[in-house]
Amino acid sequence: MSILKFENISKSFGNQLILNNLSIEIQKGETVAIVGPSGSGKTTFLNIAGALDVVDSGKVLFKNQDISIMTEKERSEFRNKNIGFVFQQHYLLPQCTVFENILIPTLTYTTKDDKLAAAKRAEFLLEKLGMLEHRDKLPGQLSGGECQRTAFVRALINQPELILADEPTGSLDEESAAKLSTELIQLNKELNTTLIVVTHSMKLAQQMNTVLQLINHNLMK
Amino acid sequence: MNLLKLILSNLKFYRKEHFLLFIGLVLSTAILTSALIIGDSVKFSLNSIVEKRLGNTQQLIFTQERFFPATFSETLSKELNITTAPVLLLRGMASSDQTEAQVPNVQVCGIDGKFWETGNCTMPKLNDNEVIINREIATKLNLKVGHELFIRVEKVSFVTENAPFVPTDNNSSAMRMKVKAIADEHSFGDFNIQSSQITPYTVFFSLHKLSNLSFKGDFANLMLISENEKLVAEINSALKKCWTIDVINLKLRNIETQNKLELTSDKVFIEDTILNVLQKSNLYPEPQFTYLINFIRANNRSTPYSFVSALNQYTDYQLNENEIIINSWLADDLGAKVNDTIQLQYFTLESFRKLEEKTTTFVVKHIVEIKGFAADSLLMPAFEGLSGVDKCSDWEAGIPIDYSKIRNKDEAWWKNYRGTPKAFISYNKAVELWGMDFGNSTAIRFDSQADTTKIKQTILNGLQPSNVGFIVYDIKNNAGWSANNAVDFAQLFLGLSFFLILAAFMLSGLLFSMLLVQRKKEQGIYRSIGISQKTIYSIFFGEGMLNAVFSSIAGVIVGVLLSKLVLLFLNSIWNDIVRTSSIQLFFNPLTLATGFISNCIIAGLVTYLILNNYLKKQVNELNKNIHYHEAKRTARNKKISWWIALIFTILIIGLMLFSFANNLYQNSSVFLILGFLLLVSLTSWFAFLLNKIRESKQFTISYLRLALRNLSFDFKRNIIIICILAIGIFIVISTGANRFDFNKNANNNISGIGGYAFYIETNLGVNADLSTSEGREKIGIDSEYNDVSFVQMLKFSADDASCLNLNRIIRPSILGVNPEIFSNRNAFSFVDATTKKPTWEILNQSLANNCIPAVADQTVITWGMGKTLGDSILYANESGDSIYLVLVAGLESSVFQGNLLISKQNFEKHFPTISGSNVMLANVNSEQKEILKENLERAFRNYGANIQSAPERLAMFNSVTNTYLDIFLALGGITLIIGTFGIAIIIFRSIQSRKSQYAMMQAIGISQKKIRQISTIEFAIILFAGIGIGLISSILASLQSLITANAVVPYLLLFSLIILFIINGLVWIFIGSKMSVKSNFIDQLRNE
Repeated sequence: MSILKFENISKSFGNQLILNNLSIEIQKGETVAIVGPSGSGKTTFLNIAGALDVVDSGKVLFKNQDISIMTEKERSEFRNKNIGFVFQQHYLLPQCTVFENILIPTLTYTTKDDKLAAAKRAEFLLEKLGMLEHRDKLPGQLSGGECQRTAFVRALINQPELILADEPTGSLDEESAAKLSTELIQLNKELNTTLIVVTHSMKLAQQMNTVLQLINHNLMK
Repeated sequence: MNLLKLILSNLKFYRKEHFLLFIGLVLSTAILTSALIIGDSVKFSLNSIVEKRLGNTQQLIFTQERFFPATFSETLSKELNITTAPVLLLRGMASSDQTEAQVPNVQVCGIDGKFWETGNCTMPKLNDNEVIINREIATKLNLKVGHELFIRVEKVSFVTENAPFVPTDNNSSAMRMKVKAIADEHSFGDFNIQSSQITPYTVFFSLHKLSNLSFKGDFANLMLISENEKLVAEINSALKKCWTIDVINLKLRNIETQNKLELTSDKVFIEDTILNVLQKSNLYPEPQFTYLINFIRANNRSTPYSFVSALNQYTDYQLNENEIIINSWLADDLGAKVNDTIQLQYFTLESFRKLEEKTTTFVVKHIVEIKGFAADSLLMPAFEGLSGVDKCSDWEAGIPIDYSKIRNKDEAWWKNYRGTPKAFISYNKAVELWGMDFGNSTAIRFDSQADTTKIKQTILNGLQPSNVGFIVYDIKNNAGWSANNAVDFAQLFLGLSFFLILAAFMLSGLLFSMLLVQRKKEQGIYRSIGISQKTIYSIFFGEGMLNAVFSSIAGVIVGVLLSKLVLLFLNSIWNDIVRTSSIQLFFNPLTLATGFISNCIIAGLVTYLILNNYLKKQVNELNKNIHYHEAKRTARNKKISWWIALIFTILIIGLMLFSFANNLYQNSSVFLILGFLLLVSLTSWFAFLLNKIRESKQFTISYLRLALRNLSFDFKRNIIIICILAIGIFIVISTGANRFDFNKNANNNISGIGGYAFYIETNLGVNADLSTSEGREKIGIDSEYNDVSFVQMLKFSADDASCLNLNRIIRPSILGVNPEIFSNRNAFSFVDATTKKPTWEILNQSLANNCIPAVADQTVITWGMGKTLGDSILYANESGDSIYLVLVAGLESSVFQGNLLISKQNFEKHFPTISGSNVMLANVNSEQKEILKENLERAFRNYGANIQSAPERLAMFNSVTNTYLDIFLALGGITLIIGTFGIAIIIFRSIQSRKSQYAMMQAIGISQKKIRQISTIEFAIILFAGIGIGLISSILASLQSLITANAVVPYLLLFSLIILFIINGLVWIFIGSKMSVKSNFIDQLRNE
């Protein structure tokens, strides 16, 4: 079952063409690595996939729903419900504890039951990643890997069907990066989410089902 | 690249941030410097005023109601080899044809050429129909040279109006005079012997002209002694060396018929001090007392208007106190024989010439022929309206004479024997019956063989000049002291702007601290390339200090401009607090340097503390001690906040209990302190709360929770802004709420107006008892106002110690009041100094010898004189004795501000010749108020009356306070602006530093609206916490004023101001929250 489908999308920044007539279909539960040289448009691809950015032409279908025609408000709601983001920087709020940071995407929840369920899920995920003991710490008190793991849990808290990770291990040392990669893939498998990772790391890319290379404004296997 | 270059390049790069810091520091220096400049300017101006009002005068002799020959000035000048100028200083009132304005309080000076010499100027010589006027009166009456001035001048006499048998109906002379010249401030036109910055309205007559309106000859009561090195003691000894008995109004004559030498006084009654001096000698003085008796009655017959004398001794007779000698004429007239009882019916004079008719019974001891002592017509003193009058029916005796009772035989007696006494009593009895505080003898006689020179020398050597009113004042030094110790405007403005300066420094500190956080990465780079912590410290400290130095220089310049603006206000809209337009700008380089250095030091200290604290924290972070230190810091902050909050809460409760236990709950200062304590307490509780939130762990998240988290994360920064806002609100509300309108409480007796309608101050004393219909009739008050009651007070004029006078006053004017009147009426109220509230009876208490209980407005005691209760003020009474006015209680702000109040009894004892009341209070129902005022103005027109509505008078004093409140309100407003400016800065800074956070939140699907809500909640909490804390504490601080009946709280103004600042704050918050969510958040993420 296709979860994400790009149909002939193109994207430019000014006169600079980034993506040209790109089409691709990603299945539910698939893990995909996007690799390519710097400036090739990997992050742009990811942003379009996550409804952070819009295309100049073409269609982006998420479970057959065209997200390229959504308003900003609709896209915001869409992202909150369906997409989990992991960035190269963890973007944790320094004033909030690990637990609170994880729950930031649940701010949109309106019922107490939903909130309590999210908190339980956060505990479960933290435990899965061995982070439960750090739940009340502030980000400043964590290591880089721990911060990134927290950001990963935050991406999963709303049970998204699609996780988009932009260089998730880019700011980590080799050991931490390897550990995080393993955890990321394993948890993805367990939760049956689709994972698209943009990375320079071939080590990480090779752990994915599919590795796509972004060359000449288009994706190639 | 060296350190300085790096610092300069950093300053250039972070110029926007440093500019904001620069602005904050310029503001603090400017306020500090301008306060100091204003202080210097006021002091300098007051000293200039001293020079202008006194000219070369170094000392002066002011004899008040005693008049000495003007030639004595020349005598003393020769003796001391210095310049002296005689002045006859009187009071008057003036008007002109040029305007309808009248000037009721004119200082009238009789002067000669020496006066202008003293003032270092020359003025034209005056003819008898010419005057010189000063600039003030010329402006007021729109007079120019050549115009005519209508002036009424008090008519004075050697004899006090408190003496009996003195006509008092004609107490002034009115005339039209031509203005010969106008004396401005450079030509001694500001002449004034009182310590005041306010120039009096002055008219200068030739001494000869003015003196001859009252006397035959040139007399003066003031002598100006020009610039010299002589000390007061030296002048006193020179005075004693060259004075003669005629200087002190005494005359010695030979009474050949009685074979006696007789000492008399132009004042009629000879002071006891003179008699005492003579009695101590071996000259055997014989004091005598002659009095006019209304009726002598015996055997159902009566003899009208006869003189009775009392001799110290009778050659051939001995008299007991109830015995009388009568002459044969009287014995015949009354059919009286030896051992018959005889009654003397006579008037005694009470205050304000109230006459009381009394009768005393004597037993006839002897009947004597009209010869020897019984034929001495010279025993009758030279009463002005009696001696020299041909017929009894022409008498002007100063008492009501029933001319119908005067028979032909009485006229015949007058024709033949003049004022020869018809009866004689013992001297002691006469003193008992008719004795007066200003003298108990109408003549002192000596044996004709006595040496006249010895008599004169005995008097002159035995007296000190001060015993007879010749008091030498070291006026220039005293005036200089008063000016130098005047209201310290530097201190005042520093006090008023304290919170503003504090806010400016807090804001500067905050900006510097934010700059350090902003440049955290830069510090990491320095460290990573091996730059030592000490060098990093030097870089940032150098930046801070360079900014401080340049901002201080700019601040001093702005301070100079600001002080010019403040002086402009002081000479115009804030004129109520200085009451002069003569305040000039004065720059003392030392002051400018003080402003510069103080700001550099404070800014340096703030920079050092922030930098030290920040860099220590950074080192801990680097050492990975962050967990320990973060938790420890939060716990410590929470603990400190909790303790401060708790201590201040306990202090508030303690002070409240103490106030209630000691009846201090009416004291506005207590509430002000309580309010301020509450401000600190609430802010500390809020800080505690934020730290608690920072420590707390929760299972869920909400927008509010996130906003609170944000707040607690930057807790110090937010608390500073809350403090600034709270202080601003506190100042605005507490100053606004302390405004008073005394019309609101006019009928309340315990108020500062005592429930009286009018406060009347006359330039000439009103010598009539206004409690009697005769007294009112004499003045001209319509009989329809018989239910109007007057309280008359006696005044010893000295300096005005009210808040209208900037000078520090050594000796304020004294009012003699009848405490019983105020006590019965429960009028005015005293400040509770002890557990027992003082009452008016306190003025009647007996103190040690020469100590007199006195009360004054507490503000006068504290600020006007710089004294406290229990202190005393030294005066010399009319006998030259030192008297100490002991401050026994302080009045709540009242219409008496500027004066010391003593009992009338004590006043009359020590200042017996001061006659007539110059200060009165009138009580009338409100319907009659306006009509009465017109009537009073008409009645008192010849007395130079200033009839003020009592609430208006109090409001006049209060206008000073209200003006200070205006200034404080303005400064509070500026503090609030700084507070909202601070909010704006932290909003933009926070948004700047949280850009990536907001972008991330947008990315994960938190809507723009919700993100805006989070930042709105966060900053709105700061805004409303600041305003709320300020509001609650200021309400407590103003509680006493709010519940006071005459407080006029400008609710609308205050409400509008607060709303305005809330709107202002909300606008910044709105703009900030708008900026927090940007459409290009992806760029932000990409940039990160």
